[in-house]
Amino acid sequence: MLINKNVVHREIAGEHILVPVGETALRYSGIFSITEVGAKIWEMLRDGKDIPDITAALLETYDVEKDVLEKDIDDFLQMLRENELILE
Amino acid sequence: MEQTVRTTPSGEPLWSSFIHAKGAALGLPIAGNFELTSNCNFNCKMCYIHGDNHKEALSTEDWINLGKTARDAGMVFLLLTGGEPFLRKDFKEIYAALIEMGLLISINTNGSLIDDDMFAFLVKHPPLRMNISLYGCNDTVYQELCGKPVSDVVKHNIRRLHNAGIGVKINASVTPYNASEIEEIYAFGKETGVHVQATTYMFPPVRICSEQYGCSQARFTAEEAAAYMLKCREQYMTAEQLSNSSGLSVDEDSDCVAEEGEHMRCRAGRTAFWVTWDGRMLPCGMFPYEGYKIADMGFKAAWDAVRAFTETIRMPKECTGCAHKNRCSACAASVIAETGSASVRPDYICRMTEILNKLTTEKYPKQEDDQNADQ
Repeated sequence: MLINKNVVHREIAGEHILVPVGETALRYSGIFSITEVGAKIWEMLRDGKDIPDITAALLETYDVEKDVLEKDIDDFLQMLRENELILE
Repeated sequence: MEQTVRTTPSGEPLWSSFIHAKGAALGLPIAGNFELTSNCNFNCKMCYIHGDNHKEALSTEDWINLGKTARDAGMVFLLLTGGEPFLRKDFKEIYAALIEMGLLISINTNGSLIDDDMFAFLVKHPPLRMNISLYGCNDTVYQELCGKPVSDVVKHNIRRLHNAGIGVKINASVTPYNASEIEEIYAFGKETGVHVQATTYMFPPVRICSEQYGCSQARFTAEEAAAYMLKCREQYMTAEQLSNSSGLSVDEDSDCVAEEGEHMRCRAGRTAFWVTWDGRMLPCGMFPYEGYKIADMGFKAAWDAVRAFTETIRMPKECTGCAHKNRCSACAASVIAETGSASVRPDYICRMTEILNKLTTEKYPKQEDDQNADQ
Protein backbone atom coordinates (compact mmCIF):
# COMPACT_ATOMS: atom_id res chain seq x y z
CA MET A 1 0.00 0.00 0.00
CA LEU A 2 1.54 3.29 -1.09
CA ILE A 3 0.81 6.61 0.49
CA ASN A 4 0.28 9.55 -1.85
CA LYS A 5 3.61 11.39 -1.88
CA ASN A 6 1.75 14.64 -2.48
CA VAL A 7 0.38 14.64 1.05
CA VAL A 8 2.18 16.15 4.03
CA HIS A 9 1.40 15.05 7.60
CA ARG A 10 1.68 17.84 10.16
CA GLU A 11 1.17 18.07 13.90
CA ILE A 12 0.20 21.43 15.36
CA ALA A 13 -0.52 21.73 19.08
CA GLY A 14 -1.37 18.04 19.30
CA GLU A 15 -3.68 18.19 16.28
CA HIS A 16 -2.86 16.10 13.24
CA ILE A 17 -3.62 17.10 9.68
CA LEU A 18 -2.91 15.73 6.23
CA VAL A 19 -2.26 18.50 3.71
CA PRO A 20 -2.54 17.69 0.00
CA VAL A 21 0.12 19.49 -2.02
CA GLY A 22 0.78 19.53 -5.75
CA GLU A 23 -2.01 18.62 -8.13
CA THR A 24 -3.77 16.55 -5.45
CA ALA A 25 -4.69 19.90 -3.86
CA LEU A 26 -6.78 20.78 -6.92
CA ARG A 27 -9.11 17.90 -6.11
CA TYR A 28 -9.00 18.21 -2.33
CA SER A 29 -8.60 21.84 -1.39
CA GLY A 30 -7.82 22.31 2.28
CA ILE A 31 -6.86 19.68 4.81
CA PHE A 32 -7.87 16.39 6.39
CA SER A 33 -8.02 16.48 10.17
CA ILE A 34 -7.13 13.07 11.64
CA THR A 35 -6.84 11.61 15.13
CA GLU A 36 -3.64 10.69 16.91
CA VAL A 37 -4.23 7.02 16.11
CA GLY A 38 -4.87 7.92 12.47
CA ALA A 39 -1.58 9.80 12.47
CA LYS A 40 0.22 6.72 13.83
CA ILE A 41 -1.29 4.58 11.09
CA TRP A 42 -0.28 7.17 8.49
CA GLU A 43 3.31 7.25 9.76
CA MET A 44 3.53 3.45 9.73
CA LEU A 45 2.17 3.33 6.19
CA ARG A 46 4.78 5.91 5.23
CA ASP A 47 7.46 3.68 6.74
CA GLY A 48 6.28 0.81 4.52
CA LYS A 49 4.60 -1.27 7.24
CA ASP A 50 1.77 -3.59 6.16
CA ILE A 51 -1.64 -3.89 7.82
CA PRO A 52 -0.82 -6.90 10.07
CA ASP A 53 2.27 -5.02 11.35
CA ILE A 54 0.21 -1.88 11.99
CA THR A 55 -2.51 -3.86 13.75
CA ALA A 56 0.02 -5.62 15.97
CA ALA A 57 1.75 -2.34 16.85
CA LEU A 58 -1.52 -0.66 17.81
CA LEU A 59 -2.68 -3.68 19.86
CA GLU A 60 0.50 -3.30 21.89
CA THR A 61 -0.18 0.38 22.50
CA TYR A 62 -3.93 0.52 23.06
CA ASP A 63 -6.34 -1.47 25.19
CA VAL A 64 -8.71 -2.51 22.41
CA GLU A 65 -10.30 -5.68 21.07
CA LYS A 66 -8.60 -6.92 17.92
CA ASP A 67 -11.79 -7.08 15.85
CA VAL A 68 -12.77 -3.53 16.88
CA LEU A 69 -9.30 -2.26 15.96
CA GLU A 70 -9.33 -4.05 12.61
CA LYS A 71 -12.68 -2.47 11.77
CA ASP A 72 -11.40 0.99 12.77
CA ILE A 73 -8.25 0.56 10.68
CA ASP A 74 -10.34 -0.62 7.76
CA ASP A 75 -12.64 2.42 8.02
CA PHE A 76 -9.65 4.76 8.19
CA LEU A 77 -7.99 3.14 5.16
CA GLN A 78 -11.27 3.40 3.27
CA MET A 79 -11.36 7.16 3.96
CA LEU A 80 -7.75 7.49 2.81
CA ARG A 81 -8.50 5.46 -0.31
CA GLU A 82 -11.65 7.42 -1.22
CA ASN A 83 -9.68 10.65 -1.02
CA GLU A 84 -6.68 9.29 -2.92
CA LEU A 85 -4.42 9.77 0.07
CA ILE A 86 -3.25 6.19 -0.38
CA LEU A 87 -2.76 4.41 -3.65
CA GLU A 88 -3.12 0.63 -3.99
CA MET B 1 -16.05 13.87 -5.20
CA GLU B 2 -18.19 16.37 -3.29
CA GLN B 3 -16.52 17.71 -0.20
CA THR B 4 -18.32 19.13 2.77
CA VAL B 5 -16.49 21.79 4.74
CA ARG B 6 -18.01 22.50 8.13
CA THR B 7 -17.94 26.20 8.87
CA THR B 8 -18.61 28.66 11.68
CA PRO B 9 -21.61 31.03 11.33
CA SER B 10 -19.23 33.59 9.76
CA GLY B 11 -18.32 31.08 7.05
CA GLU B 12 -14.85 30.23 8.30
CA PRO B 13 -13.94 26.52 8.10
CA LEU B 14 -14.47 25.01 11.53
CA TRP B 15 -10.97 23.56 11.77
CA SER B 16 -9.43 26.94 11.02
CA SER B 17 -11.46 28.56 13.79
CA PHE B 18 -10.59 25.69 16.14
CA ILE B 19 -6.83 25.76 15.50
CA HIS B 20 -6.75 29.56 15.86
CA ALA B 21 -8.53 29.24 19.23
CA LYS B 22 -6.13 26.52 20.37
CA GLY B 23 -3.17 28.48 19.01
CA ALA B 24 -4.30 31.61 20.87
CA ALA B 25 -4.45 29.65 24.14
CA LEU B 26 -0.96 28.26 23.55
CA GLY B 27 0.57 31.42 22.04
CA LEU B 28 1.29 29.86 18.66
CA PRO B 29 1.83 31.78 15.40
CA ILE B 30 -0.84 29.95 13.37
CA ALA B 31 -1.11 32.42 10.47
CA GLY B 32 1.77 34.24 8.81
CA ASN B 33 1.94 36.94 6.18
CA PHE B 34 5.14 37.26 4.16
CA GLU B 35 5.56 40.53 2.31
CA LEU B 36 7.94 39.09 -0.28
CA THR B 37 8.78 42.39 -1.94
CA SER B 38 8.25 46.13 -1.73
CA ASN B 39 8.14 46.34 -5.52
CA CYS B 40 5.00 46.64 -7.57
CA ASN B 41 4.45 47.03 -11.30
CA PHE B 42 1.33 49.08 -10.56
CA ASN B 43 1.37 52.59 -9.16
CA CYS B 44 -2.03 52.69 -7.45
CA LYS B 45 -2.98 56.08 -6.13
CA MET B 46 -4.32 54.81 -2.78
CA CYS B 47 -1.47 52.40 -2.00
CA TYR B 48 1.60 52.68 0.22
CA ILE B 49 3.70 50.67 -2.25
CA HIS B 50 5.26 52.50 -5.20
CA GLY B 51 8.15 51.61 -7.53
CA ASP B 52 9.41 48.39 -9.03
CA ASN B 53 13.19 48.54 -8.83
CA HIS B 54 14.00 48.43 -5.13
CA LYS B 55 16.65 45.91 -4.17
CA GLU B 56 15.16 42.87 -2.45
CA ALA B 57 16.21 42.84 1.19
CA LEU B 58 15.64 39.15 1.91
CA SER B 59 17.11 36.42 -0.27
CA THR B 60 15.45 33.27 -1.56
CA GLU B 61 17.02 31.28 1.27
CA ASP B 62 15.97 33.86 3.85
CA TRP B 63 12.29 33.44 2.99
CA ILE B 64 12.50 29.65 2.78
CA ASN B 65 14.31 29.41 6.13
CA LEU B 66 11.80 31.78 7.68
CA GLY B 67 9.01 29.56 6.37
CA LYS B 68 10.63 26.50 7.96
CA THR B 69 11.11 28.21 11.29
CA ALA B 70 7.56 29.55 11.34
CA ARG B 71 6.14 26.18 10.31
CA ASP B 72 8.04 24.45 13.12
CA ALA B 73 6.63 27.06 15.52
CA GLY B 74 3.07 26.18 14.43
CA MET B 75 2.31 28.19 11.28
CA VAL B 76 -0.45 26.54 9.25
CA PHE B 77 -1.70 29.38 7.06
CA LEU B 78 0.55 31.66 5.05
CA LEU B 79 -0.36 34.65 2.91
CA LEU B 80 2.25 35.68 0.33
CA THR B 81 1.87 39.33 -0.50
CA GLY B 82 3.87 42.38 -1.45
CA GLY B 83 4.12 44.64 -3.33
CA GLU B 84 3.39 42.34 -6.18
CA PRO B 85 4.80 38.91 -5.23
CA PHE B 86 5.04 37.69 -8.84
CA LEU B 87 7.63 40.39 -9.51
CA ARG B 88 10.19 38.34 -7.60
CA LYS B 89 12.31 36.41 -10.08
CA ASP B 90 12.67 33.64 -7.49
CA PHE B 91 8.94 33.45 -6.73
CA LYS B 92 8.65 29.87 -7.98
CA GLU B 93 11.59 28.69 -5.94
CA ILE B 94 10.32 30.28 -2.72
CA TYR B 95 6.74 29.20 -3.29
CA ALA B 96 7.54 25.58 -4.21
CA ALA B 97 9.68 25.18 -1.09
CA LEU B 98 6.95 26.66 1.13
CA ILE B 99 4.16 24.56 -0.30
CA GLU B 100 6.20 21.38 0.11
CA MET B 101 6.31 22.15 3.84
CA GLY B 102 2.56 21.50 4.08
CA LEU B 103 1.60 25.15 4.52
CA LEU B 104 -1.83 26.34 3.37
CA ILE B 105 -0.82 29.23 1.15
CA SER B 106 -2.84 32.14 -0.19
CA ILE B 107 -1.44 34.74 -2.57
CA ASN B 108 -2.36 38.41 -2.90
CA THR B 109 -1.73 39.64 -6.43
CA ASN B 110 -2.83 42.24 -8.93
CA GLY B 111 -3.17 39.40 -11.44
CA SER B 112 -1.23 41.08 -14.23
CA LEU B 113 2.00 39.03 -14.22
CA ILE B 114 0.67 35.48 -14.44
CA ASP B 115 1.84 34.41 -17.88
CA ASP B 116 1.24 30.96 -19.39
CA ASP B 117 4.32 29.53 -17.71
CA MET B 118 3.33 30.83 -14.27
CA PHE B 119 -0.24 29.69 -14.82
CA ALA B 120 0.94 26.14 -15.54
CA PHE B 121 3.19 26.26 -12.46
CA LEU B 122 0.27 27.35 -10.22
CA VAL B 123 -1.96 24.60 -11.57
CA LYS B 124 0.78 22.08 -10.79
CA HIS B 125 1.31 23.53 -7.30
CA PRO B 126 -2.07 25.06 -6.45
CA PRO B 127 -2.37 27.52 -3.57
CA LEU B 128 -5.31 27.35 -1.19
CA ARG B 129 -6.54 30.64 -2.58
CA MET B 130 -5.55 33.53 -4.82
CA ASN B 131 -6.85 36.96 -3.86
CA ILE B 132 -6.77 38.93 -7.09
CA SER B 133 -7.42 42.67 -7.17
CA LEU B 134 -9.86 43.80 -9.82
CA TYR B 135 -10.28 47.55 -10.09
CA GLY B 136 -12.69 47.62 -13.00
CA CYS B 137 -13.41 46.14 -16.36
CA ASN B 138 -11.89 48.70 -18.70
CA ASP B 139 -8.42 50.06 -19.37
CA THR B 140 -9.31 53.72 -18.88
CA VAL B 141 -10.00 53.04 -15.21
CA TYR B 142 -6.90 50.85 -14.86
CA GLN B 143 -4.72 53.51 -16.44
CA GLU B 144 -6.17 56.22 -14.24
CA LEU B 145 -5.95 54.32 -10.95
CA CYS B 146 -2.97 51.99 -11.40
CA GLY B 147 -1.04 53.40 -14.35
CA LYS B 148 -1.31 50.12 -16.29
CA PRO B 149 -4.02 49.38 -18.88
CA VAL B 150 -4.23 45.65 -18.20
CA SER B 151 -7.86 44.92 -17.32
CA ASP B 152 -8.16 42.17 -19.94
CA VAL B 153 -5.05 40.38 -18.67
CA VAL B 154 -6.33 40.46 -15.09
CA LYS B 155 -9.79 39.22 -16.07
CA HIS B 156 -8.25 36.47 -18.22
CA ASN B 157 -6.15 35.28 -15.30
CA ILE B 158 -9.06 35.33 -12.84
CA ARG B 159 -11.11 33.31 -15.28
CA ARG B 160 -8.51 30.69 -16.14
CA LEU B 161 -7.27 30.16 -12.58
CA HIS B 162 -10.86 29.71 -11.37
CA ASN B 163 -11.65 27.37 -14.27
CA ALA B 164 -8.54 25.32 -13.45
CA GLY B 165 -9.98 24.60 -10.01
CA ILE B 166 -7.88 27.03 -7.97
CA GLY B 167 -9.74 28.97 -5.29
CA VAL B 168 -9.95 32.59 -6.44
CA LYS B 169 -11.40 35.64 -4.73
CA ILE B 170 -11.73 39.07 -6.30
CA ASN B 171 -10.61 41.91 -4.05
CA ALA B 172 -12.17 45.16 -5.21
CA SER B 173 -10.83 48.35 -3.67
CA VAL B 174 -13.31 51.05 -4.63
CA THR B 175 -11.97 54.59 -4.83
CA PRO B 176 -13.11 57.82 -6.54
CA TYR B 177 -11.17 56.63 -9.61
CA ASN B 178 -13.11 53.41 -10.14
CA ALA B 179 -16.45 53.93 -8.37
CA SER B 180 -18.14 53.82 -11.77
CA GLU B 181 -17.06 50.18 -12.08
CA ILE B 182 -18.88 48.66 -9.08
CA GLU B 183 -21.64 47.07 -11.15
CA GLU B 184 -19.19 45.79 -13.77
CA ILE B 185 -16.93 44.19 -11.16
CA TYR B 186 -19.83 42.36 -9.51
CA ALA B 187 -21.24 41.39 -12.91
CA PHE B 188 -17.87 39.86 -13.79
CA GLY B 189 -17.87 38.01 -10.46
CA LYS B 190 -21.36 36.62 -11.16
CA GLU B 191 -20.47 35.65 -14.71
CA THR B 192 -17.34 33.78 -13.67
CA GLY B 193 -18.63 32.44 -10.36
CA VAL B 194 -15.82 34.15 -8.44
CA HIS B 195 -16.63 35.73 -5.08
CA VAL B 196 -16.15 39.51 -4.91
CA GLN B 197 -15.01 41.19 -1.70
CA ALA B 198 -15.23 44.94 -2.05
CA THR B 199 -14.31 47.72 0.28
CA THR B 200 -14.69 51.46 -0.02
CA TYR B 201 -12.61 52.12 3.09
CA MET B 202 -9.00 52.96 2.20
CA PHE B 203 -6.31 53.10 4.86
CA PRO B 204 -4.33 56.34 4.83
CA PRO B 205 -0.94 55.27 3.40
CA VAL B 206 0.87 55.90 6.68
CA ARG B 207 3.53 53.27 6.06
CA ILE B 208 5.20 55.58 3.58
CA CYS B 209 4.54 58.83 5.38
CA SER B 210 3.63 59.26 9.02
CA GLU B 211 2.49 62.80 8.16
CA GLN B 212 -0.53 61.23 6.52
CA TYR B 213 -2.44 60.06 9.59
CA GLY B 214 -6.07 60.40 8.62
CA CYS B 215 -5.18 61.69 5.15
CA SER B 216 -5.49 60.03 1.79
CA GLN B 217 -5.72 61.87 -1.48
CA ALA B 218 -7.22 58.86 -3.20
CA ARG B 219 -10.17 58.01 -1.04
CA PHE B 220 -13.77 59.07 -0.65
CA THR B 221 -15.16 61.32 2.01
CA ALA B 222 -16.69 59.22 4.78
CA GLU B 223 -20.13 60.07 3.40
CA GLU B 224 -19.23 58.87 -0.10
CA ALA B 225 -17.51 55.75 1.22
CA ALA B 226 -20.72 54.83 3.06
CA ALA B 227 -22.93 55.45 0.03
CA TYR B 228 -20.70 53.41 -2.28
CA MET B 229 -20.46 50.61 0.31
CA LEU B 230 -24.23 50.38 0.25
CA LYS B 231 -24.07 50.28 -3.54
CA CYS B 232 -21.62 47.36 -3.32
CA ARG B 233 -23.95 45.50 -0.97
CA GLU B 234 -26.85 46.09 -3.33
CA GLN B 235 -24.97 44.10 -5.95
CA TYR B 236 -25.13 40.85 -4.00
CA MET B 237 -27.76 41.28 -1.29
CA THR B 238 -31.54 41.25 -1.70
CA ALA B 239 -33.74 44.06 -0.36
CA GLU B 240 -34.86 41.69 2.39
CA GLN B 241 -31.28 40.90 3.37
CA LEU B 242 -30.43 44.61 3.39
CA SER B 243 -33.43 45.40 5.58
CA ASN B 244 -32.07 42.91 8.10
CA SER B 245 -28.46 43.94 7.71
CA SER B 246 -28.17 46.64 10.35
CA GLY B 247 -25.78 44.42 12.29
CA LEU B 248 -23.31 44.16 9.42
CA SER B 249 -20.05 45.97 9.84
CA VAL B 250 -18.68 48.32 7.22
CA ASP B 251 -16.42 45.54 5.98
CA GLU B 252 -18.42 42.50 7.00
CA ASP B 253 -16.67 40.31 4.49
CA SER B 254 -13.25 41.04 5.88
CA ASP B 255 -10.65 38.36 6.54
CA CYS B 256 -9.92 40.08 9.84
CA VAL B 257 -12.36 38.06 11.93
CA ALA B 258 -13.58 40.30 14.71
CA GLU B 259 -13.68 39.15 18.29
CA GLU B 260 -15.10 41.04 21.22
CA GLY B 261 -12.86 42.59 23.83
CA GLU B 262 -11.24 45.70 25.12
CA HIS B 263 -7.98 44.77 23.44
CA MET B 264 -7.54 44.34 19.72
CA ARG B 265 -10.47 42.47 18.21
CA CYS B 266 -8.66 40.50 15.53
CA ARG B 267 -6.04 37.76 15.44
CA ALA B 268 -3.08 40.03 14.73
CA GLY B 269 -0.43 39.51 17.39
CA ARG B 270 -2.40 36.69 18.98
CA THR B 271 -2.18 33.94 16.37
CA ALA B 272 -1.16 35.99 13.34
CA PHE B 273 1.98 37.87 12.39
CA TRP B 274 3.32 39.83 9.44
CA VAL B 275 6.87 39.92 8.11
CA THR B 276 7.72 43.03 6.11
CA TRP B 277 9.77 42.90 2.90
CA ASP B 278 12.87 43.77 4.94
CA GLY B 279 12.36 41.15 7.63
CA ARG B 280 10.61 43.01 10.46
CA MET B 281 7.83 41.29 12.34
CA LEU B 282 4.60 43.17 13.10
CA PRO B 283 1.19 42.03 14.34
CA CYS B 284 -0.28 43.22 11.02
CA GLY B 285 1.16 44.87 7.93
CA MET B 286 -1.01 47.94 8.32
CA PHE B 287 0.84 49.05 11.47
CA PRO B 288 3.19 51.98 10.69
CA TYR B 289 5.72 50.81 13.29
CA GLU B 290 9.28 49.50 13.12
CA GLY B 291 8.37 46.13 14.57
CA TYR B 292 11.00 43.55 15.48
CA LYS B 293 13.89 42.59 13.25
CA ILE B 294 13.88 38.80 12.95
CA ALA B 295 17.50 38.56 11.79
CA ASP B 296 18.63 40.29 14.99
CA MET B 297 16.26 38.70 17.52
CA GLY B 298 15.37 35.33 16.05
CA PHE B 299 11.84 34.27 15.14
CA LYS B 300 10.65 33.21 18.59
CA ALA B 301 11.83 36.36 20.37
CA ALA B 302 10.27 38.52 17.64
CA TRP B 303 6.97 36.63 17.97
CA ASP B 304 7.05 36.96 21.76
CA ALA B 305 7.71 40.70 21.38
CA VAL B 306 4.83 41.08 18.90
CA ARG B 307 2.49 39.29 21.31
CA ALA B 308 3.61 41.42 24.25
CA PHE B 309 3.22 44.61 22.19
CA THR B 310 -0.26 43.58 21.07
CA GLU B 311 -1.30 43.08 24.69
CA THR B 312 -0.51 46.74 25.38
CA ILE B 313 -2.80 48.09 22.67
CA ARG B 314 -6.13 49.48 23.82
CA MET B 315 -8.88 50.54 21.47
CA PRO B 316 -10.54 53.95 21.97
CA LYS B 317 -12.66 54.08 25.11
CA GLU B 318 -15.49 55.58 23.05
CA CYS B 319 -15.73 52.28 21.16
CA THR B 320 -16.58 50.27 24.27
CA GLY B 321 -20.09 51.60 24.72
CA CYS B 322 -20.71 52.69 21.14
CA ALA B 323 -24.12 51.81 19.72
CA HIS B 324 -22.45 51.00 16.40
CA LYS B 325 -19.79 48.74 17.91
CA ASN B 326 -21.01 45.59 16.22
CA ARG B 327 -21.48 47.33 12.87
CA CYS B 328 -18.04 48.89 12.80
CA SER B 329 -14.89 47.55 11.22
CA ALA B 330 -12.47 49.83 13.07
CA CYS B 331 -9.39 47.88 14.10
CA ALA B 332 -6.24 48.92 15.94
CA ALA B 333 -4.33 49.38 12.68
CA SER B 334 -7.04 51.51 11.05
CA VAL B 335 -7.48 53.61 14.19
CA ILE B 336 -3.72 54.27 14.24
CA ALA B 337 -3.75 55.06 10.51
CA GLU B 338 -6.57 57.53 11.07
CA THR B 339 -5.37 59.21 14.24
CA GLY B 340 -1.76 58.27 15.01
CA SER B 341 -2.87 56.42 18.15
CA ALA B 342 -4.81 53.21 18.80
CA SER B 343 -6.85 54.85 21.54
CA VAL B 344 -8.15 57.97 19.78
CA ARG B 345 -11.64 58.01 18.25
CA PRO B 346 -11.32 57.49 14.45
CA ASP B 347 -13.82 60.09 13.25
CA TYR B 348 -13.70 59.09 9.58
CA ILE B 349 -14.60 55.46 10.36
CA CYS B 350 -17.23 56.52 12.90
CA ARG B 351 -18.92 58.77 10.32
CA MET B 352 -18.72 56.11 7.62
CA THR B 353 -20.33 53.51 9.91
CA GLU B 354 -23.07 55.86 11.12
CA ILE B 355 -23.97 57.02 7.62
CA LEU B 356 -23.92 53.52 6.15
CA ASN B 357 -26.32 52.41 8.85
CA LYS B 358 -28.55 55.47 8.31
CA LEU B 359 -28.64 55.10 4.52
CA THR B 360 -29.39 51.39 4.77
CA THR B 361 -32.15 51.87 7.35
CA GLU B 362 -33.76 54.67 5.34
CA LYS B 363 -33.71 52.85 2.03
CA TYR B 364 -34.40 49.38 3.42
CA PRO B 365 -36.49 49.80 6.59
CA LYS B 366 -36.57 46.81 8.89
CA GLN B 367 -39.47 44.52 7.96
CA GLU B 368 -42.05 43.72 10.63
CA ASP B 369 -42.17 40.00 11.17
CA ASP B 370 -45.92 39.34 11.28
CA GLN B 371 -45.47 35.71 12.20
CA ASN B 372 -43.34 36.54 15.19
CA ALA B 373 -45.71 39.34 16.14
CA ASP B 374 -48.58 36.84 16.25
CA GLN B 375 -46.74 34.46 18.54
